[in-house]
Amino acid sequence: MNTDRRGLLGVGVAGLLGLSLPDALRIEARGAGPRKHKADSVILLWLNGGPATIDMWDLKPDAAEEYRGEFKPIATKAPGVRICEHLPKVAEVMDRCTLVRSLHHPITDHGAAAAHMATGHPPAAALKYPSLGSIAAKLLPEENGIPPYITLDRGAGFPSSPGFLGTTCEPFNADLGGRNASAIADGISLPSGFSSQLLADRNRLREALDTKFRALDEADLPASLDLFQQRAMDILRSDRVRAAFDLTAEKEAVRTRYGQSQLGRCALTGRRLIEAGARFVTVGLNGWDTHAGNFRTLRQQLLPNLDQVLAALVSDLGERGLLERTVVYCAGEFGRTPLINGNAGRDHWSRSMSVLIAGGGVRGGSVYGRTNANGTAPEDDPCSPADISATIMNSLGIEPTREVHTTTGRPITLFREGKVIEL
Amino acid sequence: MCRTLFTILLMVSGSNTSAAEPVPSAVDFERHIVGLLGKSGCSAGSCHGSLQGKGGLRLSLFGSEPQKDFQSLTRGGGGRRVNLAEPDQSLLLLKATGQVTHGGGKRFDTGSWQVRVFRDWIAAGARHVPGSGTVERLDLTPSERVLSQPGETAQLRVWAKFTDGTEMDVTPFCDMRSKDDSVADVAPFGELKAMRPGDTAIIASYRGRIATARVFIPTAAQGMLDPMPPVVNEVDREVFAKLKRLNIMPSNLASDEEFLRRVTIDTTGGLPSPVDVRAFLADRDPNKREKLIDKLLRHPLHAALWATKMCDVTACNVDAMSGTLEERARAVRMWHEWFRQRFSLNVPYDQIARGVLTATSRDGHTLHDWLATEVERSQSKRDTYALTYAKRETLDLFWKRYEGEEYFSLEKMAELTATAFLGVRLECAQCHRHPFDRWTQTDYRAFANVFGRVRFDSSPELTAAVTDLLEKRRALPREKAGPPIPRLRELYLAERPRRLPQPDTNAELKPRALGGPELAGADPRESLAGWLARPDNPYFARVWVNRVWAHYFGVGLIDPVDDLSANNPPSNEPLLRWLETDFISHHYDIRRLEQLIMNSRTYQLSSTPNDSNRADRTNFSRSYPRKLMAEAVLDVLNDALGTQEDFGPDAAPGMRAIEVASNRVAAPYAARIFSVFGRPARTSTCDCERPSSPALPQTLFLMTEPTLLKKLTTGRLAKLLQAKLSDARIVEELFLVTLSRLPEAGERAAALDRVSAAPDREAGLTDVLWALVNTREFILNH
Repeated sequence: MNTDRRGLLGVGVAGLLGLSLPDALRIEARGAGPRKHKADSVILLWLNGGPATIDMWDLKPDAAEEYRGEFKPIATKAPGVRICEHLPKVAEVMDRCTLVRSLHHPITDHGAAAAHMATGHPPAAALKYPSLGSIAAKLLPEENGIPPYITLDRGAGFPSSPGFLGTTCEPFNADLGGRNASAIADGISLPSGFSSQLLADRNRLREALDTKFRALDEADLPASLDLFQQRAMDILRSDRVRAAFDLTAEKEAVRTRYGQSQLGRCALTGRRLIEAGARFVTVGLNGWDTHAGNFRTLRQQLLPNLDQVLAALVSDLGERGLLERTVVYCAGEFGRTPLINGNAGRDHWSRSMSVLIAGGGVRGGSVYGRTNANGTAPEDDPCSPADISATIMNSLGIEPTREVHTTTGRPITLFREGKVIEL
Repeated sequence: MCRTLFTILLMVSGSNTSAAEPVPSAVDFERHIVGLLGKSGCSAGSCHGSLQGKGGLRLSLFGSEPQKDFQSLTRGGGGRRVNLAEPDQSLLLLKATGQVTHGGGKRFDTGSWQVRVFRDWIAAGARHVPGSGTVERLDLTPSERVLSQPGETAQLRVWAKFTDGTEMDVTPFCDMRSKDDSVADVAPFGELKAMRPGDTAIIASYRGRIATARVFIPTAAQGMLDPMPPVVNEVDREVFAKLKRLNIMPSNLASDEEFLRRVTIDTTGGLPSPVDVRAFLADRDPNKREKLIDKLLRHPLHAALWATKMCDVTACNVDAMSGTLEERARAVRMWHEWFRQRFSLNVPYDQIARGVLTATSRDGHTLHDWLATEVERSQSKRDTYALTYAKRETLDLFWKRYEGEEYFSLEKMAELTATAFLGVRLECAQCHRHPFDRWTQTDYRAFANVFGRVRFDSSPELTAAVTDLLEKRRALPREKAGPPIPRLRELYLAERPRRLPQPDTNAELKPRALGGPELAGADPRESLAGWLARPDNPYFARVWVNRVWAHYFGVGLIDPVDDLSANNPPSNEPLLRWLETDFISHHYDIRRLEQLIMNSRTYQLSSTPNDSNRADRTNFSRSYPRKLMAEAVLDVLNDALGTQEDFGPDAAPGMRAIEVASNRVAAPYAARIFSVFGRPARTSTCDCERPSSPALPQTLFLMTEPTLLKKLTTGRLAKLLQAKLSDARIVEELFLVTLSRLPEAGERAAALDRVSAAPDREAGLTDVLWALVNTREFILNH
């Protein structure tokens, strides 16, 4: 494609999306110059339903019986940091992970709380905030040929909405399901017999025939479509996405390490996508809404699955030298009641919860914040979803005070309330 | 008239500059405290206003029952919430200021004016004058405000008139927000600030009551509307009147090609044929557009399009029905056909709704006759069953839902009905959160009780009758036994109604329309249908008129279309009001409504913007480019490529996507288009299931989908190549079948260049067709 036209188009679209020309140039420029931040990308591991983090990351063995929980804490590779006995593999990589134990927010409704965690803002009627991935898609330099923001199997219901940033910051969702790589690659690669040369020729003609519609470019819909057409061309030309989905390219040992679970395959695909240049990949695991039989469900199903995949992801990224430049963020919408209910379950609790962060310059082996004796509230260093969001975005080099524009041109500060936490 | 004024206290908070803050000289519980609890979200449905309350404190939703709130605050919680002796030790204050752990976090700063209001009230004895805050009227003044340029500010005030005759400025105790804060923003004390040209509503809520005002910020250019563009009907008068206030000039009239394509897609979900295009362009009749509209509104596919939309609205979901796969597949087709017949005969909308709402399986017939019909229908050959079902008066299938051996719950019935016919979302938490909605649990349950007698089961009579039939069959020799008796359940009215009790007292709760009267009678659904069709019904006609508008313009006068509430005022109330009134006074004549809309100049405006209307997204000053329905994407592609779809068992051969009843189809290509382009799953009745924005996979699909690529060469193009036409003629034809217009000189040259550069003629023309299908002009309606 001819570079003049491409440049011109880029600016045109940026203008429509509410970026000024200097803004757009700055974004372009950020790709080239030295970068101060640590990370390039994020893999979010979303635990949908509200994980009982009190039984995972912040156990209270000395609490009264009705709070204590059935699991024992074990020592980890990080001196002094103890986590659940059913997370032994994660314990082995704890020296590279940081736990935040003092997160809290006021919402105990699944949808609204998830939106709060996903965006760093409590949901509001007037303004729909973008998910972190959408912000990354918007502001980070884009690698050609791969969507910047990808969710796999819809991230187990993670609310990935681009909010006021508009549809161009929508994630690209790929359903891995039980399908093989070639099926997933449908629609993200050229079918056989369709060469890149043919694609280029056809696309040149398409552009010539689309000129009449340029008069309508100011409207949201034609402008987004124009951008999608450019992105689609980049994706089809490069074939990186298809290659990333092909797990058979991985060594057997690596695949075994992640396991055959849906989460395992998603996480491994996520790592491959990050390698290929994606900025924000969301994978997820359902089933954490453990109102009844919390301990049995955690012990038998959820924790073994999470333990294998999370540990595999952190160690694999580490061995490939990618961990420094990739944030692994494991969170759910809220924690669960420290007080155990009559069904050996725990109910929704957002006043205290833990999240795990690894990579992206996080020191590792440490814990931020502390909850009280029964784990019902943070005691030291309480922090909010805005703080965590600001911290993660900051590690990508996006400052919390940065202004972005809504599709209608209104300037919004990303995280007015969010403080970056030193992790 | 006595107007209570505020003592304005100047308070200095920290290092910030001072600000005027409104602490009233005498704090009244209902007027101030309950107001503040509402403004601060404490009595919202997501907080203490929920049915169970939060953290042990339960408040009535937005202070609807202040007597109860007073009890909870002064008596509940062990009496520690309010401490008369030491006001500062009141738990109410300690929690709200975060000094004691509060599930809702810190709501106010310790030194804030809100805290002073609470404290003053407690210090003065925490009294309650019952009824003091009953609002008779709430006004937001001025109700219209014009700001001449961005940056300009103005003060809005909210006045409450209470039943005791006093009128009071309650601005600080209201929640204020702007519907579109990129146009104008409003601060908590009512300061309005213009942001950019346009208009928006400002919404103030006080103790559950809503008042709205409208702000106009005209575009800068002067005198654009002289002369006024000609108006065709009242639609234009209202649209242009508003544009004039905003100093926006509408776009020019759309060309014949542009109009023909738009109107054909909108009415039938397909494209005009090249013959249609040529004939229409050549037609010299000045009334040709009107005639075309009439013709298209009578087109069989137009009825199919509305039937498909009504299947969305009524949540016709093949996976939530009873019976075998085969029975369910038949049921969705009967459902679709029932609506299709009605739209094709232009049955008045109130009668269609009545047919859904008052349905029983026997449909006014005797058990014996109905049973005979059902047995016959279950035997009938392909497709006739749907036609005979469509002749029924009522759509009993709407109520025959199956949810894991459970009855279709009263709550679900209430939700479905409310969204479909009232545009009221009782429950749509999956897609939208409604922090301000005014419906209480009592309203909800009383409405649900309208459906108390509805049962889907084998009624005692049916069980007896079927037993008799089976006995008779067994008595007969096999060859004379006749058709087998299908397993039957019916929708009927049970003797004993199920009733949801009043949530607080567990008392009996009489069936009641939402925001309307008690509904009596043997089947309160009959009264519900009657109430809906009353000329003064606030929802029924309005929600339909708005749906039709949204279909033809891509955005409703009320947007989203299924959210009719005082919180979501329409962009053009006079227009909506006029359409609604006209619709009612013409006996809910759908076709007349569509004719009014489509014959208006507004509908026929070009999509090409001018300098004054580029930024307009809500006032219909031009045609907005819009996405096609997923079904239309499939049909439009087949029209352009000269191919047909095979839906296998899901539709009769030759049927188009817009005619397909089932929400889930087996044919892989069609299923992929439906999923990629967003055909609703119909798991809720929410219109949000049909996305209005594009997505990257859609673009990729059009570029690379293998079946689609094959269709490029096998359909129309193959025929054109055989017909020994010149390249130029074929290129012309390809433009006509895709974009419904002839190529311009430059486009023709570019296409022909490609044909000569390609390895062969067929390859070159395939490239041209691929390029045309991938233009935005093709895949959008505009």
